[in-house]
Amino acid sequence: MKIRKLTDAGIERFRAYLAELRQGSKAPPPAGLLADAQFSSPFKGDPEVEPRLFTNRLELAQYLDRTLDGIFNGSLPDDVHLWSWLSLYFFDQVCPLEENGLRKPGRDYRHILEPGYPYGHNHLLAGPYLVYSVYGLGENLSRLLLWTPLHLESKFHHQLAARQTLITNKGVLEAADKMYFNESEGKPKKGALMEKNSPGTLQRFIDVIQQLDLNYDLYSMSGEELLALLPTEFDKWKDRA
Amino acid sequence: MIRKFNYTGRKKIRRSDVRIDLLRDDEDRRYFNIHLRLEDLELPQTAQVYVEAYHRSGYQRYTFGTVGELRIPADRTLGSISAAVTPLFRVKVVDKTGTHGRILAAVDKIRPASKDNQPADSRSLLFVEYDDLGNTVWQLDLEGDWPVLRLNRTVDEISLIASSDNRFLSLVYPEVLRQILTRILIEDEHTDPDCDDDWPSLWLKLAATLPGMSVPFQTSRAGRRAWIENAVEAFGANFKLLDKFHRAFQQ
Repeated sequence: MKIRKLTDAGIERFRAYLAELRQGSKAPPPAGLLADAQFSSPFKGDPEVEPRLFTNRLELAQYLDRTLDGIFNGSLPDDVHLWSWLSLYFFDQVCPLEENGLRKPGRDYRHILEPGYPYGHNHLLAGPYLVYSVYGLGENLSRLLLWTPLHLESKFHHQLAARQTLITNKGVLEAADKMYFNESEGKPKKGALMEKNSPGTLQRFIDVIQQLDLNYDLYSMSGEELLALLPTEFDKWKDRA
Repeated sequence: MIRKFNYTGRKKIRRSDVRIDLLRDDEDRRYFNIHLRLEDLELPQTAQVYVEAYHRSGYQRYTFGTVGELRIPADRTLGSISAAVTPLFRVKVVDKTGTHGRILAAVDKIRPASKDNQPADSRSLLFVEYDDLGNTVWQLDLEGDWPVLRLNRTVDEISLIASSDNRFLSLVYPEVLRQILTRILIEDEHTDPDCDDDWPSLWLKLAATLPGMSVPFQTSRAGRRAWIENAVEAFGANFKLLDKFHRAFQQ
């Protein structure tokens, strides 16, 4: 199907549907909006999407990167109408049906993009695309953040993508990946998200990096160089890197 | 008085020693020019100089040679940053002789002095951006590098409304001031207006100079909250906001 953009009226219908779900409705997604000229409009370049299933958010980001390749422009990541259309198109994956026949959509901004601060990166499709394509992190630096299924935002993504100085620093993300990602299992190592201020956890990593940023030019460092700067509380993770 | 201390020993580059201008080349690409004075800081001649431009997801870094031999890079275009926004800049002087690059001097959050040869309000305490905010008319963003009043670009003439509509002025700006001072004094517990030239100090300085106000020495949370309300009241009195509000409805 050719990608389109929801119109303002289409977005309002979509928003109303999300509200119905929160009230316990079991209505199916309003897929008719996707092609209805009153509720959606063509998207330049006519790229196409297909109804495929994604194992995780990384796979989705790679797919969107290929699909939207060549039509990237500065406003694409902020295009509320485009990302809302895509959310509706992949709705069964960003808001799956539960065993009781209900769906839990969460807040609107997970499906209808609210660009920029504070919710832009929380959009379930635009968020992964930002990480993979706009920040240009590619597979190896995205996998720690995007390992979850489409409807779940990992805490790694939530914590790192919300901080501009961290998400734009490839050395920081490389260090985090080396410490916390379990390559053989394709997901984070156990314990990295334990109690907030436990030694060596993600939250402590963020605190320490922000402190080091006052003294050191972190942008010029590789992941390995950053790991060498970390205090001993991170040794157990480094040893397992 | 609660102040923020710089324990790092790194030197401050004065804002007055940096000037950034945003321009466009023949292909309409944005780039910047910079005037930078480092002579007075007694920095090692071999230390590296970097300039960084940033705005949310956008970040770009430029190498400017060394303190002793500044080299302006030919490519100073801002391709990684949305053309719709004004980036901020930081300058870093880095000692690269050790294993890890140590910052010797820095200045952050430099606002361009001009854009497209037009003077920009580089000293503004509150930046304005226009976004699609859904059903919200305005929003204050204090999570970025500088306070930003975000206005809903889908509202007709929102720029005009925000700058001259007396109803908007009298209803919104006191709340903006209240939220900013609450962040500074209550959440961040920063009470020294002379601490540095970052935005919290500058906003405190502004509030402290309103009629009847003084430096916020209060250490108790309740005392700081009372100080904020006094500042908001003084702000309203100073700009005759209640009178403006009345007159707006009589017109």
